[in-house]
Order: sequence, then structure tokens, then C-alpha cells
Amino acid sequence: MANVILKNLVKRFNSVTAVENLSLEVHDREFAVLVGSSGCGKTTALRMIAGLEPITSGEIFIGDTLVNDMDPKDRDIAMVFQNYALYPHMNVRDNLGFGLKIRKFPKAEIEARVKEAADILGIHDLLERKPKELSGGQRQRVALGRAIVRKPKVFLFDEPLSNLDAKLRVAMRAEISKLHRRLEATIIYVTHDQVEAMTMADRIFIMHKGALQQTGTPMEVYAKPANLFVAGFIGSPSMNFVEATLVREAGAWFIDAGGFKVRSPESFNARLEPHAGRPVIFGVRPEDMSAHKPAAGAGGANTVTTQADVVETLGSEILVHLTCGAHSLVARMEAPEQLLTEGQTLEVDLKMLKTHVFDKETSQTIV
Amino acid sequence: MRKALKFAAMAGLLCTSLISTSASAGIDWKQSQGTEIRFLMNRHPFTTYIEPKVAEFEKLTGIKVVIEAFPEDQYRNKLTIELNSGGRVDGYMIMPGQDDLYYSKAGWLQPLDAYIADPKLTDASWDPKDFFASFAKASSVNGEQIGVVINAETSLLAYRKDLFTKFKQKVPTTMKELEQVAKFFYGKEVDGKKLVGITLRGKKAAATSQWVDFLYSFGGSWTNAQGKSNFASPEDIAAFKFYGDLLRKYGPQGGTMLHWAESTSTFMEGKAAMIYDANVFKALYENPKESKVAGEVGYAVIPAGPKGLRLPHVSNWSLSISKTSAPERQKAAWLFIQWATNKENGLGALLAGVPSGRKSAWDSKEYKANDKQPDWTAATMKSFEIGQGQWNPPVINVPEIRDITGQVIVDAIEGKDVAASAKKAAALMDKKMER
Amino acid sequence: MTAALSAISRFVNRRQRFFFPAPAVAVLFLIIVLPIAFNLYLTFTKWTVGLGQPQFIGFGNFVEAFGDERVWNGVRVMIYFSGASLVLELTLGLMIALYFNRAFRGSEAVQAIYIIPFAATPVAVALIWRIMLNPEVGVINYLLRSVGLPPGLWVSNEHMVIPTLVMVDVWKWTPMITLIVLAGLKSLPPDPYEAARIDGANPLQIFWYITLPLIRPVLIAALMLRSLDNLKEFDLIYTITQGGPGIASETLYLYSYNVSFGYFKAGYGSALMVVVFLVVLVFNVIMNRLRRDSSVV
Ligand SMILES: Nc1ncnc2c1ncn2[C@@H]1O[C@H](COP(=O)(O)OP(=O)(O)O)[C@@H](O)[C@H]1O
Ligand SMILES: [Mg+2]
Repeated sequence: MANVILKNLVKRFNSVTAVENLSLEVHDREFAVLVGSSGCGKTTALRMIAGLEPITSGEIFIGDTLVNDMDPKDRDIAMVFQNYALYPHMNVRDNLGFGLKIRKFPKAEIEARVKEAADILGIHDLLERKPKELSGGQRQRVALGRAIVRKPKVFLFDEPLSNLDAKLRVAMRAEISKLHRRLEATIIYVTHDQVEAMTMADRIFIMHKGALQQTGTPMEVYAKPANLFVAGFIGSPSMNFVEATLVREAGAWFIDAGGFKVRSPESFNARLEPHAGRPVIFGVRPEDMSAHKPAAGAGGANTVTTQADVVETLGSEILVHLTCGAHSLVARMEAPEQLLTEGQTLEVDLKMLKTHVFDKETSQTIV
Repeated sequence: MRKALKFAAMAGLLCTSLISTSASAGIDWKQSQGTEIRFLMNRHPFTTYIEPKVAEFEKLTGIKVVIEAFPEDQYRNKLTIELNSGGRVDGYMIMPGQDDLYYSKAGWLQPLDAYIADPKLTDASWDPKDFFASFAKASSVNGEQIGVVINAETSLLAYRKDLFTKFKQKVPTTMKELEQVAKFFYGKEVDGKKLVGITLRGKKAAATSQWVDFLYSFGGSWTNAQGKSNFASPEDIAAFKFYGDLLRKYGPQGGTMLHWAESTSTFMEGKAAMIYDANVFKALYENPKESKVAGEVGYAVIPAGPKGLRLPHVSNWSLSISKTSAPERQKAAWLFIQWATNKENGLGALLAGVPSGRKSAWDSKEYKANDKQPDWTAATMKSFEIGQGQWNPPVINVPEIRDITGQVIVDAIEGKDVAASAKKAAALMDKKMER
Repeated sequence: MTAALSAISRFVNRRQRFFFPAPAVAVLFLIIVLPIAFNLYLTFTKWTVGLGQPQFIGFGNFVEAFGDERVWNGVRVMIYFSGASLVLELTLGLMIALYFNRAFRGSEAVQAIYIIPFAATPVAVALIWRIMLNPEVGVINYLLRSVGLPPGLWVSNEHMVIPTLVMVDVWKWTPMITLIVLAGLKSLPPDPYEAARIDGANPLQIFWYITLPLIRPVLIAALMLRSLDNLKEFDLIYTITQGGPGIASETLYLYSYNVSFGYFKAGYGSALMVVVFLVVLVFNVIMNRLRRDSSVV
């Protein structure tokens, strides 16, 4: 059993509050990703779990044990650092075996475990080299290896892929996921990259300015963001946001954005009611929009007329940057057979059931 | 104070009158007019005394004198290097007991006998007979005089008159008595201080210059008739042993590191009943600002050895002429040396605290009138008379042989096997000696 | 006339790369190359300054050195003094640097006071120690007596002299080692330390397995720097003991100085200096190799 529970965790550096009242639970053998923009307190939270950073207040439990005053070495955790933190004076073999040697494992056992880790990570040929003789990707593997030889209950990863090039990062993502399945251990993984979070996590913990915003599976936080921040943070490209007001016309609710006006689905009505006439923010993901040349018939109630500014081709998909009155929008869709040209007038259909409305004042989600 | 002023005025009067007479009656002082000479000097009290007077000489002779003086610890190196590199040195200060053989072998010393004998060059008033014979001898190499003494020293036994009276002790006249008296005082508590019987130099090479008086008084010598080291002789060994035992048993702790500064300060602190060291340290002992025993010190010649010998050494600084200089400048240099060592400067220097090598200076009314330690003067005169000029090993490489000698003294002070140490040193000395 | 001048200037112009460095090369030659060459030449001669010309005797001086008891004594004293003082200075310097490295209140003031001995002039420091160490009138024995401890003979005893000199040398030079090591410590990467804490190392193990290997190149550099002076330590020993009692603290360097400048035996003295120089050279070559092998970045 190695779940990790944080209760009302707070960390202050003098006047800066790095972590604000953080409470969460990571389940046993879960791959939990702590995600948020840079400076939001992820590393600080992780270091408190590791025991490297004294906590200001709150409690940390690992496997139901209160570890607030426990040394890092007694917490049965392993950590992979952003810049690897390899021992520069030891070769790879000794880097891997150091934790075991310190813990007085028998020689044969150390050797077996180092070999096992080297096999898993494919770093057999590197064992005699010093860190300075390795590439970034190789160092990353050694750092992983150093964590896994110890077979701890909990792994802590602090942005382990951020120093790698894009291609390598994609490959390592998959490897780490595979590794997780193989190790059957709890992993708390910190990243600022929501793609990493989405692709790897069992559950995502989204942080902003030191505070937890939302917890959920990748699909949950994608489909049902708890607030404006989460909605904007998760998904790529980001969700389009437009300031609007709710107006009621002929028994239906309309979202009036000034430049355009769309009708909201009936299922939203109950939740929109209390915000009648109030300023809201309307959100629609680029992938929930499809643009096409103006059709012969008049557009439906969820169609917006726009101007194409820029068209970015990704291959099978394209990104279209659009202007609609004072608003800028981005649409993402399959590449049409006929090329869209810039400056062209386009009609955009919105999948209204997948749109979101946020309270402008509180930033909380309305629907 | 008033007395001192009157005295100074009188001395000044005397000087001027003497200069005028010698200038008119004797040699032609202007014979080297226009010559410039360069003297290297140790920054010694004599240098301090003579420097302001040089203008008088320049006026008298028309010779230009350039004096360059260096602190003693640099002086010898500086001089040796200049002489060796053939620098333009016309005259210099030398300690003959230390360097005469070396400098003479190196060809740096111009014999002075011809100048002294020449009535055109040497004024009758200079009176060579007025110098103590021991110093004339000390400033000679192979019978040729190579320097004129400007600072005359010897060593004396200094003792605490107050303590000797209080404890009814007699001033020792033999080595045996010396040991007994030292033993008597050792450990006595006076004014809350534990006394030592005697303090001596014990620091390797530095100790040899005082130890040598014991060597001679014990009938020993540096070398034997065959010119070999005499250290292994019974007399030499006895001298080593006596000196070492005296210091170890009745002297201060850490005897092997005592140079004159440490030894004299022990005595001046009032912690020693006796000290054997240079007579000129009287100035230290009797200075009430520095010394707690000022006014309480008596002085005596070294006690006699087992066969009744009393042979202290005399040492001196002399002025010499550089052999490598040109004859014209050498002549001018001689005129300068002659003037600097004449009777009035001998007396003047003595009155300024520089012990003169001239009898007339010590016998003068001016000196006697102001002499607060007549027993010191008497002992000094006696010592000058009976003193030996050869206080260093008679070799060219004096420092090296002194180091070898010093090692035996150190071993003796530490109570090691003196005979073995002396034998070893004798063999080493035979090997290293250069003559 | 003008034609000649312009010919000269043309000549110079075309050969600028010879003419411009020429004065510097000439000066270097005069003040560095020539004296060293002359010294090396003297090494193979017998020559007392002032007594005749240097006389070529091949390796005679080295043969003499081999049979010279004072040379062996000098080697022994050098090894004893340098070995003890270097080891102590390095150990203490490292320990104190580790202490200073964890900044504490007022640590800057403490550090400023701490480096005073190192900043003070060696000869002045040595003189003060010489007076303080005097067994009869020195303040150290006075203090010892006043608290009821037995006084010591310090440098006045042939067995105590080296330990005492080592103590003074350590007092004077440990601050320098501390400063060097402290700079090294401050430049160490912080993350291997955290990795080691998580790997389970306690502070002592972290010191042994992480700090020490990482700081080793700096330690060796400090040792090399210090050994350059220490192996031919002069000011301190000469001022305090002049090599005494007897020759109990006469290092090979001191002896070579005595031979050269006390006895004016320039040939033999030069040969002994060359031996000292070789010892320093060999020591530093070994240390340099160690340093290269242990450097990690
Ligand atoms: N040692 C520290 N001292 C002061 N402020 C710190 C320290 N470490 C982090 N912070 C501050 O705490 C906040 C959170 O930092 P961090 O946890 O590193 O963010 P993240 O890892 O999410 O980028 C930042 O504002 C950062 O400047
Ligand atoms: Mg971070």
C-alpha cells in the first residue's frame, strides 16, 4: 500500500507562497501527474513529498504513515530530477548502485538489480561511462535507472523530459508509461506540459498559483474543466474564449458575443438561468469548430460568419485563425480538399453541446 | 645635566684645537684633493658617530666621501657581493675575527703597513702605539695589518652585586668557583622569581664566540700543531663539556636556542645571577628603562681555567682599504681611515658610546670623569690586554666551521656524549676546513 | 641620410614580428633564463664566492650531497615538517570550510577575523611567535603556568621544535586552504546532494561519497599551491629557529640557503637548491596527475 495523501499543505518562502493549502490523494500504483504552468509550485510540492523541503504547515502521508518529520531516506521514495542530478564522479554502474550500496545490500544483489535496470532501459553499454560522457537522453535513462533499482513504493518525477528534444520526449513518454505498468508502483509526475499529462496520467492534478484547481482523469479534465484556468490549460491549441452575455429570446438562451450570437442547447438552460444578463465567458475548443465556405442556405443558429486570417497546415489537419468582429478564434479541423485561402469569408459551425460557459467574475464553470 | 653640558662643551673645544694643530703641523692633508671615495659601512654606532663629521674631513682634505651603510644582517652579504663583482668599493668596515682570512684570500684586503710607515701619508699624531696591541694583532693577517680598529670589544663575566652581597658569595676567579657559585644561585628564589645560576649563549654557531674564551682558558685550541682540528683533545672536550654542563644544569631552560638577545634579556629580567657575554652589553644591563638590574651589576674578567689560564677573546670592527681600488683612491681612503681613527675621534666615539681601541681615550679625564662603572672599565682594560684576537676558527670558511663547532656545543648542552660528538666534529672539520 | 633611415624603417617594418617582441624577449632572457642557466651551471662547479673562478667538477656536488649528513637531516626535517603541516592544513582547512559553508549568523565576521593570520606578513608573524614561544619570558608559557599547566620548551627542544613549527605553520596557512576549499564547496552542484539524501546517505556518507570526491580536485590544487611554499618554507623557520636547536629544524632548503649565503659556497649551494627544486617538481607532477584523474567536470 503506497498511496500519498497531502492535507492542507502550505509552503512559504518568506513572502512568497509557493504552495497554498494543497490537499490531494494519490492512490496506490496510480500514475498521477501534477501539471501547471511554470512557477505554480509543482516542484515545491514534490520536494516536500520527498522530504527535501521543510513544510510550512499541513501533513503528508505516504502509505498511511505521517512522514512530516521523516528523512528522505526513510520515506521509501525515489526521485528523478529535472537535470538528472547524477553523481558526476561515478560511472553509470556506481550511479545506479549507490542507493543500494548505502543501504548495505549484498554485492550480488546490487549487481543483479543494476543489470536488471540496465536491461529494462537498454543502457548496458554505458555502465562504465561517466555522466559527462553521456548524451542527454542517456543521462535521462540513467536517472530513471537509479530510481528503479531501489524498487521504492513511490516514484517522484520532476519534469524528467523537459531537457530532451521533441522526438526523444515522445519516445520516453511511452517508455515511462510502459515502465509504470511494469513496476506497479505509485508515480507522482510533475510537468508543465499538458500533452505529457494527458498522455501518461491515470489522473491529472492541475495546479495554479500554488493551489489545486481540479483533479480527474485526462478525459474528465478535458471534457469538464472546473474553471476557466483548467479549460484554457488543457487542450492544444487552447480553448477559444469570448466575452459574452446571456440573453433570453423566444424561450431559448442565446450567447451574445457582440460579433455573433449563438443559441445554447436546451440541456444547458437550467444552469444558465441564474446568470441571466450577467457577463460570462463563452468557450469553445478549436476541434469543436468546423469552417467551410458560405453555403447557399442561411446558416443555422450555431453558425458564425468569420474571416480567415491565417491557415496553418499540420498535415492531415489544419489550424485556421479566424476573426469575427473584435474576436479572434482558432479552429482545428481535417484538411479540406480545396485549400482555404487567407482573407476568405468562412462560416463556422460550432458543436454547441461541447461548448462551455464560465462565470466571468469567479472564473468557475457554469456549463 | 649641567655637568654633562659642561663636559660636552669642553670636549668640543678640545677637538677643534686638536684638529687645527694636526692640520698645520703634520702631513699635507690636501694631497688627494678632488678624489672621490666610496665606503661601505655596517649601520653601527660608529657609523652613526662619524657620518655627521665627514663634512669636516671633506673640508680638511677636499676629498669627497660617499658612505653607504646597511643593517648588519644585510651588510655582510652586500659587501661580499660587491667586492666579488668588482664593484667600486674603496674602503669598508670589516670584522677581522670573522672575515680576515676569507677576504685576504679573496684578495680584497690592502695591507696598511706601508701607509702607516710613510711619514708623508701618516701624521705623527696618529700614534699607532696608542692602540691596544691585541687589536692591532687582531686586525692583521700573516703579520700584515689590514685594518684599523674602530670598535673594540671583549667578553666579561657580569654578576649581580646585590645578590652576591646578600648571599655572601665571592666573585669567581676560577672555573671551579664559577660552577660552584652558579650552582649556589640556581633555584634560589628572589623577589618571587626563581633564579638561574648563569646564562650563556647556547645557539649553535652564535655560541662559539663566547665558548671560545672557555676553550682558550681550558688550554684548548681550534687546531693542533699539525693544523688538524683539535676538538678531540682532552682540553677541548673539557671546555665543551664544562660549557654545556654549566648551561644545562644552572642555566635557563631551552639553552640551545639562546642567542645573545635571549640570554641578556634573562639577565636583565633579574632571573640570572651571572651572565658571560660581550662587555658592550653593559649598555643594556645599565639602562634602567630596559633592565631591572641597572646599577646592581658588577664586572669581572673570565675566571681562570684548570691550569690558571685566563684567555678571553677580543673582537673588533675595523676600517679596511679595498685592494681592488685604484692607488690614488686607496691613498685617499687611507687619509680618511687615519682621520676617522685619530685620537680625537677615538675619544669622541668612546664618549658617544663606541668602545675605542685607543688607550688614550679610556685614560682620558673626559671619559673617567663620567664613568659610572669603573669596575667595568677596569675589567675591560684588563681583558683588552690579555685578550686573544683569534676568536674564530683560523680558516677561510669560518661560518661553516662555526656551525660544526656549534653542533658540539648544542650536544653538550643537551647532555649527550660530548667526546663522541667532538670526535665526529673534528673529523668533519678536517674534511671541510679551508685555509 | 634619409635614404638610410627609410631603409632601416623598411627593414624593421618587414620584420615586425621579430622586432616588436624583441625587448620583452631580451628582458625575459636577462632576468629569467640567464640566472637559471647560471645556477644550473654552478651546480656542476666548486666555487666559493670571492675565491677564484668556478671550477667544473661534474656531479661532484651531488656525490658530496649524498654523503652529507646535514643533507639527509634536511630531507628528514623537510618530510616531517611538510608532511605534518600539509596534512593538518588540508584536513583542518577542509573541516573549517565545511563549517563556514553552512552560512550562519555572523559567519562573515568570523571569517574575516579567521583569515587574519594568512593576511599577515610571514616574517612579522614569525617574529611574534618566536617571542611568544620563548620558554622563559614567552607569553605562552606564562599563560600555561597561570592556568596551572606545565610550561613547554617549544622550539628550544629538539623533539618539540618541529611540532611547534608545524603548529605555527598550520595557524598561519590553514585559512588560505579554507578559502580555496570554501570557494570549491560553493561551486559544487547542489543536486547530487539531494539525490544522495534520497538514495539514503547520512551526512557522513554524503561527505565521504559525494563531497570528498567532488572537492578532491580543489583539495589537490590547494595542496599543490601550498606545497610550493611549504616544501621550501623559509621565513617562518628561519625567523623562529634558524634551523635550531642544532640542526633539528634545518630543512634541506634552509641548509642550501646556509651553504649558499652563510658559507658562500655557491656551487654546492646551487646543487642543493636544485635538489629541493626537483623534490618540489616531482611532488607537483604527481599531484597534477592525481588531480587530472579525479577531475569530473
Ligand atoms: N528556495 C526558494 N526560495 C524562494 N522562493 C522559491 C524557492 N523555491 C521556489 N520558490 C518560489 O516558489 C514558487 C513555486 O516554485 P516551483 O515549485 O519551483 O514552481 P514549478 O516547479 O511549478 O515551476 C515560485 O514562485 C518560486 O519562485
Ligand atoms: Mg519545477
